[in-house]
Amino acid sequence: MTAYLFPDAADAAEAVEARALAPTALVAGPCALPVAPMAMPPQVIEPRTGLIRRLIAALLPQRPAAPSAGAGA
Amino acid sequence: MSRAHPSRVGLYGLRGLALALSLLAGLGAFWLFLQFGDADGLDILDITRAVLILISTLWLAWGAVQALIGLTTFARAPAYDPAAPIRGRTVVLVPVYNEDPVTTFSRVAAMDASLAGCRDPAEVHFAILSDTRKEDIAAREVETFARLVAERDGVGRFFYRRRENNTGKKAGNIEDFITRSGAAYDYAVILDADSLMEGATILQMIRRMEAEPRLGLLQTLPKVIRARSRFGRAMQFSASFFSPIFARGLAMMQGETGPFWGHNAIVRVRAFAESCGLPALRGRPPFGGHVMSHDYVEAALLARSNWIVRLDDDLGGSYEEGPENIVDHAKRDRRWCQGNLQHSRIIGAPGLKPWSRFVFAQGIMAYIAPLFWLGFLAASIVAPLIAPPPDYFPEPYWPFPYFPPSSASKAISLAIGVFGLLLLPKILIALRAGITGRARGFGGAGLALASTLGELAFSSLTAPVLLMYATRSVLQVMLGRDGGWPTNNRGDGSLSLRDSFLASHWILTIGLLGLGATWTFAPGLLLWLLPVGLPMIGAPLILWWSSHPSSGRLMSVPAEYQIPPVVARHDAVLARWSAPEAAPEATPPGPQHPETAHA
Repeated sequence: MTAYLFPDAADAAEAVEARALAPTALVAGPCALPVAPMAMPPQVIEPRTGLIRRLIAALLPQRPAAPSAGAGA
Repeated sequence: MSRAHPSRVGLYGLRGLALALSLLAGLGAFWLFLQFGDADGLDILDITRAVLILISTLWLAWGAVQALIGLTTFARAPAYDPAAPIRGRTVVLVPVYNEDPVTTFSRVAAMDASLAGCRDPAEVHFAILSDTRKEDIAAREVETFARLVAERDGVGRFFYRRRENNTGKKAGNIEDFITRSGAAYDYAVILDADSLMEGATILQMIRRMEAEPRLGLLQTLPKVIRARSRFGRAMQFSASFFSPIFARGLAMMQGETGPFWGHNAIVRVRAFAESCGLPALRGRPPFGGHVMSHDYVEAALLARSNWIVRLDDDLGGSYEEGPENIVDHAKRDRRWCQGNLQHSRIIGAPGLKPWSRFVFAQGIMAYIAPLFWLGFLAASIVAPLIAPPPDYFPEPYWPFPYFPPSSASKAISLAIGVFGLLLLPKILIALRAGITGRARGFGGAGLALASTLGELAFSSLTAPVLLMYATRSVLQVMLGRDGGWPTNNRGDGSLSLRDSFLASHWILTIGLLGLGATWTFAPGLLLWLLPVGLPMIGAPLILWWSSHPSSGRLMSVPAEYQIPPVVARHDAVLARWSAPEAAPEATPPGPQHPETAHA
């Protein structure tokens, strides 16, 4: 269960007060969304390269990586 | 406590069987067509047509096999305690976009009253997430929301927010809610503006989520309601009578990798947040940009993160409304077409479950299948032009002519097979409904069978028209073009003859040209092509006729015989809110429904 606690906005006195609010004040005040952020990290949803490139890469012979500077010294 | 799914071996066996049966039907059609073409010698066009008929039959057979599998079992509830106390907090999300606020928000009032009627102490809130761009509608939304809050005593339970820009459309709207308020809730019921759900159904969905901690998303099977036109009622009957069986077959084959149809479903907020953040795709629309058909992708991403995604087709009390005419249907289909074709960019995403990739492929196939049929028809019209003339004297100096054996029987067998795949599942569904008593809800076995035959006739009439719209949608998406629709229909969905003509004159033209070409180049095919060509020529009349109100009991559905409680509640609230004297200011404070406000 979520640990977030709502303010006791449904309290009868506050509710009566809220009814007296203008509609715009209502949506900006007691009926605005609760502030309880949750991260929604972007996912990887497409291959890094397209199908054609992947096919070509798979078919072409792989070159050995170039030796780094100082290799074999 | 999950549903007693078949074992992994059983699941793969079922999928394999379905694929094998479909392949068998496709290869059978392929073989029959090759024999048919071989009568005057095989040429490249015969082989092309045989391949096209293979793909088309395979696709038809896949749908038929799904229904046949669905006929073997009945929907049943998973193992859980339907009276268990609910611990988590739930929010019902109602995304809106330029809809009429009175109609939409009165649905919220009806669902809240329905929940209150259950007298369950569960905490269920409602959040209206507005992406409305029109200022006048937005102003009415705020006023109507104030009335909703006053009537349902909703302070602290009802929330409203309007986004400054509608980035990412509905998916972006939901994401905005989660990043802003997601930590306040354990579960979120995601609806569409036209969704309605019984309070009892919402509560059972929450209990099922609590009974299975690995369940990330639970999808219900919404029934179409309130259809009035001939087209709308045919769709409504189909969704109510046939779809549950097709959905049963689907539910049996998908295992824990179920579907998400974007609404009338519940998600575990934490699972959704950590798995379903959707970045824009590389490149520009139609294939790049924001994901349009986000629901399929979200289901695949939840499954990738090892959350269960499940279709609980035993749950009733879930409703939606559908288009009332073919033009509205085609407009919606145009969006879905672009969304599904966009999935070709996502199908290779790393780590997806094989079934998710298969679902993407199915979605793409659903829109490109008409192209294969059209290709087959076009090739058949052209074929006689390149076919060699019959040789009646193949043996030199032989005085008697040789008449090649007729291959008409092969063509007729093929046609019977294709029509069988289309008709048989629906006929079997009607027969089973008569035997099991399910048909009683549809006016009895006789009426249900008559409605089935009526729906088959109606869909045969509209299929060529819908096929043309689907083809145009695919071509437009490929060319990156917009739909270009005529003016909107009237409020009740009925189309004028003029609007019907404007929306379909191009189908009429293609039908005339197609039949003309057939008459000229392949007169022997004319009779075969009339069932496709005549509805195309009559497209404006079909659009006009089918958009008008339907009278009579044919294609009745249970929701017409016995109005579901939440629909009746909605009717009552809507009637009251729409009454001329019922201005929002005149609303007396406090709940007006007999049920007390829900916790």
